[in-house]
Amino acid sequence: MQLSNWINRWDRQRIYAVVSLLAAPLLMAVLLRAVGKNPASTFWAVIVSGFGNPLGLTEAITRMTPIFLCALAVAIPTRAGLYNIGGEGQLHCGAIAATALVLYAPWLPHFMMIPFIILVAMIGGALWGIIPGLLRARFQVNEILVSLMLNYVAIFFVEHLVHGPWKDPDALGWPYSVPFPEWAVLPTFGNSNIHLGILLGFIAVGLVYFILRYTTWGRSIRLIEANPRTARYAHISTARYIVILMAVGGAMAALAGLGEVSVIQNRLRPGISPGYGYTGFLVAWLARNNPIAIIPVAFFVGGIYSGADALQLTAGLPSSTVDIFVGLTFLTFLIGESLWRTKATLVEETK
Amino acid sequence: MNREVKTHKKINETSTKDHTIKFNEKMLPLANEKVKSLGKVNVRLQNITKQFPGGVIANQDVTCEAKTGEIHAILGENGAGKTTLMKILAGFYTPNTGQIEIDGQEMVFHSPKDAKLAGIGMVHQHFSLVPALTVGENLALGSPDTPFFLKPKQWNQHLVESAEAFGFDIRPNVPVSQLSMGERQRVEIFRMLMEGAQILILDEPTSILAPKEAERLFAHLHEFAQSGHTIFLVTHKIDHVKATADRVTVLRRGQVVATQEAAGLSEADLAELMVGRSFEMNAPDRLKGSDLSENELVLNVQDLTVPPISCPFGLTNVSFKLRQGEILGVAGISSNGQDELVAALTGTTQFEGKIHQPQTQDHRIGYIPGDRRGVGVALPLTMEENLNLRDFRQDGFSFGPLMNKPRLESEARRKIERFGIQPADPNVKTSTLSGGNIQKILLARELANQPDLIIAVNPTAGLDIATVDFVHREITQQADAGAAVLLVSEDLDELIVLCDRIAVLFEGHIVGSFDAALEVRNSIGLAMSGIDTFHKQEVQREQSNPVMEFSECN
Repeated sequence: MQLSNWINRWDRQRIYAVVSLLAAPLLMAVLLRAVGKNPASTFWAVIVSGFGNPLGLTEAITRMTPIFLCALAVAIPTRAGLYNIGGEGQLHCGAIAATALVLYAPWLPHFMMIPFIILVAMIGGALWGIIPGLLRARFQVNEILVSLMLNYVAIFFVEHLVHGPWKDPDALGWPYSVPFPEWAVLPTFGNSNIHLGILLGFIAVGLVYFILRYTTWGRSIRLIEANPRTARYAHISTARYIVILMAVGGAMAALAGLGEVSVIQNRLRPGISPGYGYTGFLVAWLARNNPIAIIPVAFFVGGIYSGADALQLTAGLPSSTVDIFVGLTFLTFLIGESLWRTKATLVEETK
Repeated sequence: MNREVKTHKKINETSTKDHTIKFNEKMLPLANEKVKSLGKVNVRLQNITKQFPGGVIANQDVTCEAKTGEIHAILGENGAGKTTLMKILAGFYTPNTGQIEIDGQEMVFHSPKDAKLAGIGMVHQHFSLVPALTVGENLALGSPDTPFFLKPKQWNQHLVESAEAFGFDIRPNVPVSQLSMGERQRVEIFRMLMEGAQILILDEPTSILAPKEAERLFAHLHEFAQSGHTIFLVTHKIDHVKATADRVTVLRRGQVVATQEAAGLSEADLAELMVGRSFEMNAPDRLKGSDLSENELVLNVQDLTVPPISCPFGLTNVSFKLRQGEILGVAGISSNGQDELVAALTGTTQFEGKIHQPQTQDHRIGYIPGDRRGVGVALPLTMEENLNLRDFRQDGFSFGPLMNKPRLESEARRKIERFGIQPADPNVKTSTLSGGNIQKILLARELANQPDLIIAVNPTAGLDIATVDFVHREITQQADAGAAVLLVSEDLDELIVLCDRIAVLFEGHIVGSFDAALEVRNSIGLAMSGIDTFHKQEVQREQSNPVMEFSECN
């Protein structure tokens, strides 16, 4: 291919990306106008309250944590070409596993609780990730469907637990588990709700980077991603890596669940996640499944969620309005990307 | 004489005797004014040269013309540039130089759509029908006649009527997945005619057809030609050229070897034109004909039967032996069982029969796959990663999971230097390399550790002469050093220069086995086309040939 062609393609890709990312706020403005709100002042309110003051920023980082972890749960399996839509279920399984430890192992020495609860939660999520991984590796069952369906299983299992066996008798009839004791709550920074989970996420990003670059495992994974047929030719077991990557993804989402039950809610209850697993999927895609790029994107989305509370006060809009915005961003991004892709392949073929 | 050849003989008779056997002038709507111009030059390709990125020259200064009402065959081996030339005519590629003239007018096609507007329709080797949709739905896709709001009943009625006018009998309500290959092909041809194609290009139309269906296709083609269509028939089958074509253009290595009346050429003439006689290759110094029968047996294959991977032919009862220091060539047109043979030997498919490797302990196989970009290397990775694909998990290159990067890099540099790969930087992305250098990466990886058995598939396809020479030298050196080599190639010159023996695969059988020498070149060429004129040679083909289930393919 000639150099000019490359530049051409690169330019086109950039233009599509910028246009598609600008299209989302524009569409949002149209929607806001339609319900009689002033788009400019609404946007401004979200930005100021989400990013513009220490309180908003703290909340942004708190909100970012589960989104960031769930995005990693998506991004890591994509290394072997897998789509893990099961972040939500893996998050819930992490939460269940953590609660189980609190309920059934109160005899653990207090100082050992934190490392154990992290480990147990990760194992819980990993097991939930392994199911679609195994089915895919062994029987070529579509992991998208299986992981998505397992979300509902996990969510309803939480409902069952907190309405039944794990219900706290002192909770005045609410479907809550008993509160987590102090020593089972992840350490937080200062008075905020920013907890150890985000640090674990950063460590995970570092580890992923290191493993992909410096180990034979990473090279095998990169080979599977680059060309599965060459990987098979080199006698690398694709099936093994599919299962491992799904397990690691599940463990990441489980950390998000752990943070929610131990720090944010302090107990297992229905609705511990307002769809973090799905938001994480969107974030991973916007970041093109690059673990490092996920950090700023997750922060941005976290900030928007944090600013959403202001919507209610200033504009009288429900805070879920930001879900519409995040959804629109994803949609325009996908459309832009697919347009670029089609163009690119057309150019290639007629070349 | 085998079954297939007999059937073609029959077509030959009907077609030469009477072209208009089923032809009825009222039936064909496009015809009348076009019929008047029968015999005039309709399409002219003038000095076409096409060079692909990466330096492969597919067509070099090709000039070729077809007359209205003519079936013009484009004959050549795989990789001779037939399909590229036709894709240029159909607007899929733009030539680097040269012109296309239709009825004396110069045309420039920027896309297949432009070519379609000029009345050119191409039926590809691999069909473009959606199997899950019905015939009617498929034909509605991309047709200019399709109304915006499609009323299935009316549309299907319209299809049946216009198909009838072209002499087709189509079933618009049937899903394409339920059609036989022949029916699918008729749908494709009808689509082109319906969209107004005057010039019809068929790329290897018989490769997926049963002989009966091929016969039917040829009868149809004669009708279209009579009604004023110009037909290009791209093929490597000599008997099909004899059976149908009025004239034939023979391509070899991207250049025109001859354009002649088909009637004036015998099958042997065509075979000679197709595979060529001249030697452009320097034969590496290799003492052939030396007695290898004392050498240790490396590979003993007995009654190997493999189900088809790439349709339509699997492998049936193939036996051969391979000894140290021997190069055994496997000749044949592609998809006659080569893929299956290689897959069985490299352990990637199920098979029946015996593959015995007497020296089992520490047996090293070097495998150079035919699809070097698709299988051989991972293009997005660096050269170092591709060069060490087999070794990076071995002791010395890693401690547990940790890779020894400096060691891997120095190993890569060693291979790069030894095989002269350009650029000599192990951290360069493989996708930026030329085809020749990618092939050198494969050689470096597979041959650097002195394997006992080398399996190479089309190792020089698409490479420039200097690299071809390099590859040949490497293979011969390995053989002289004691490796047994199985060389699967579509390039007959290459096989004759390098090999000790050549086995010819046709429809999954070994139909002949030759000591490689100049004199047998034409015999091999004919055997590759399934024409078996050398009764003196022992032919292993059996009469009770299992008939392939064509409709199940694909």
